[in-house]
Amino acid sequence: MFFKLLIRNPQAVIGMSIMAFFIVISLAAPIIAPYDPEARVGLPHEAPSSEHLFGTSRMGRDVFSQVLYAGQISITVGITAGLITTFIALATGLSAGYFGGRIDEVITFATNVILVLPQLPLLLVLAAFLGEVSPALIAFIIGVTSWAWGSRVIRSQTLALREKEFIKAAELIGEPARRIIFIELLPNLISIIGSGFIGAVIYAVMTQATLEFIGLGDPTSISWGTMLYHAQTSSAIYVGAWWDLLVPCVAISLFGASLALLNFAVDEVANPKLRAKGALRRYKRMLKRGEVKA
Amino acid sequence: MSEKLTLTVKGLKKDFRSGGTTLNPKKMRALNDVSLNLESGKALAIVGESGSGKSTIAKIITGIHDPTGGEIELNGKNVVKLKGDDKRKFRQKVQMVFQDPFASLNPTHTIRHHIERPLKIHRKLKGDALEAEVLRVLTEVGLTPAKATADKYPHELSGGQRQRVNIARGMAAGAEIILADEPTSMLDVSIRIGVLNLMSDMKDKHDIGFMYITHDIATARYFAEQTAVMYVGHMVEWGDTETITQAPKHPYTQLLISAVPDPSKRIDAPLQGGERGEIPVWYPDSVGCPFAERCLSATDHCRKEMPGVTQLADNHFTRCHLYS
Repeated sequence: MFFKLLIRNPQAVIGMSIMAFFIVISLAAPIIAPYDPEARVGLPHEAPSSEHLFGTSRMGRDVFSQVLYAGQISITVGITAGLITTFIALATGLSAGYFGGRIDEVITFATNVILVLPQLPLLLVLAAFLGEVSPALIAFIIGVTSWAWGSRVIRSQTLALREKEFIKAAELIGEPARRIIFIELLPNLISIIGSGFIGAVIYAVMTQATLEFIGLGDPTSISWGTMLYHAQTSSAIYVGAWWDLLVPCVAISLFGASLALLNFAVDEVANPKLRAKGALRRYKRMLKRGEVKA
Repeated sequence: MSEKLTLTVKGLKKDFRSGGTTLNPKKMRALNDVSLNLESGKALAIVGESGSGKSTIAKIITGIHDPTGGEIELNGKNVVKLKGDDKRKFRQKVQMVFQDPFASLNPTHTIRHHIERPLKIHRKLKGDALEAEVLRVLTEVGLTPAKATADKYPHELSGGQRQRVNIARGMAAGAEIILADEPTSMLDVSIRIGVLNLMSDMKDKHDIGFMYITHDIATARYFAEQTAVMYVGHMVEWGDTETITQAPKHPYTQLLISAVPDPSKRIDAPLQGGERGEIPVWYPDSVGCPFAERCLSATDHCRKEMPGVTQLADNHFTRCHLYS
């Protein structure tokens, strides 16, 4: 039912299409890419042509091939960090909300500590301290520093749910705590977890790009962020090589936008109050056809 | 079912915190000196206005709240602080049906899940026997075709059907006493009688005891042999339902009965026994009769001293200075 509603939602369809497009072309990079992304295959900063679809970089590398391969790393880092974030948020939020008392106090304290630490500066310090960090490490750092918001949302939702009569009824039936959490509570949190995960992926993709852009990443790895870094350090904009900068920028923005669209859609599907939009559209259509009177 | 079960509540008290500071909490008394008896095969109606503590009794018996004082016994055995296996056995015997049929079923699971779980937990059924029992229970509560209903989700059922699922859940556990917390108050008037009849059937056929919590004294007369009238956490009159509804003695019961719509009465007929008014909040140090403020026959004595229990007939008790 959830999936059917998602399919009928235009935002969801556009978001999923763009996202699927990016995932497919990144996975198929070895087949689609015309050149080795790390090989010097042309003159520096050649403008886009039939030979080099998106031109070449300062190093004479094919930007089109690079952006395809870079997608693999950027998307993987985004999803990995999103999974770590969601997992920690879920574990802490659920336990704090369901068990309450001392457990809640300890977890809420830890959450608040993470929340008051400004995130980007923390990431900068960590990344700088660890030197040129690999994409895997970036994913890990993002994951363990950005779960606090999700944790709070899940905790408050769990608190609200556990007072519901169906949870009380399950307790009275004699369900063990483990089953109440995973079988009775968790399915009611799916939409929140889903949108939290999507939000975390957007944040991770952006943050990874930021870190690498300012040169804290591993410059030998190929991701959208390091592409921007190289374009910036080779003054691509000054020499008029706009393609070198624009291509990874558009890739990041489009991928982020697709996730954001999907997030709105999940919100809309999960919250029946927002779903009225479709009904209004149907009503207007009927009004135009003269099937109803205003 | 073999032996008769008796659930006895003695001198139950419950205080809730209502403001104040952690060191000096202010308390209000939700239940004061409540004693009652529930037997399998019999129904006891608890009647009272909102805030009279009716639901709190059921929530304390099932262990959702802890009592502040008093005892709860099942066949003479104290059940207030049970643990582990004893608690499981107690829960199997005493189940609860909640007021709101829209909140008491998990929206993400099918009806089958709701009936299967108690069968698995308390009767350890598996496979074909489990499925057969699920269908049998659903048929029993009138949810036919049972197979189609089992595959439905709660939002596909009406309020009345959901309340039937709730009763079926208690039955599936093998409950011998069901605490029904205003099971019909959120249902359409036209389907209330169906749910009441179903509970009546279960009482007679399966010897299940019911505690029927309601604010509707008319349905209490229809369904229950015994009635207890509550006011601000106190039992003010209790005993045989016929006597209480036909010859009420306590002024509050008289007020309740005269508030039941009656087509033969003038719409502006005066209320008997008491007048409209605010329901007071009861504190542990409050004195007098809780109904004194609204009572037409209240004297100074009523405002100063809590009336004791008076036995009016074989099975008819009240707490009122008029009769002591």
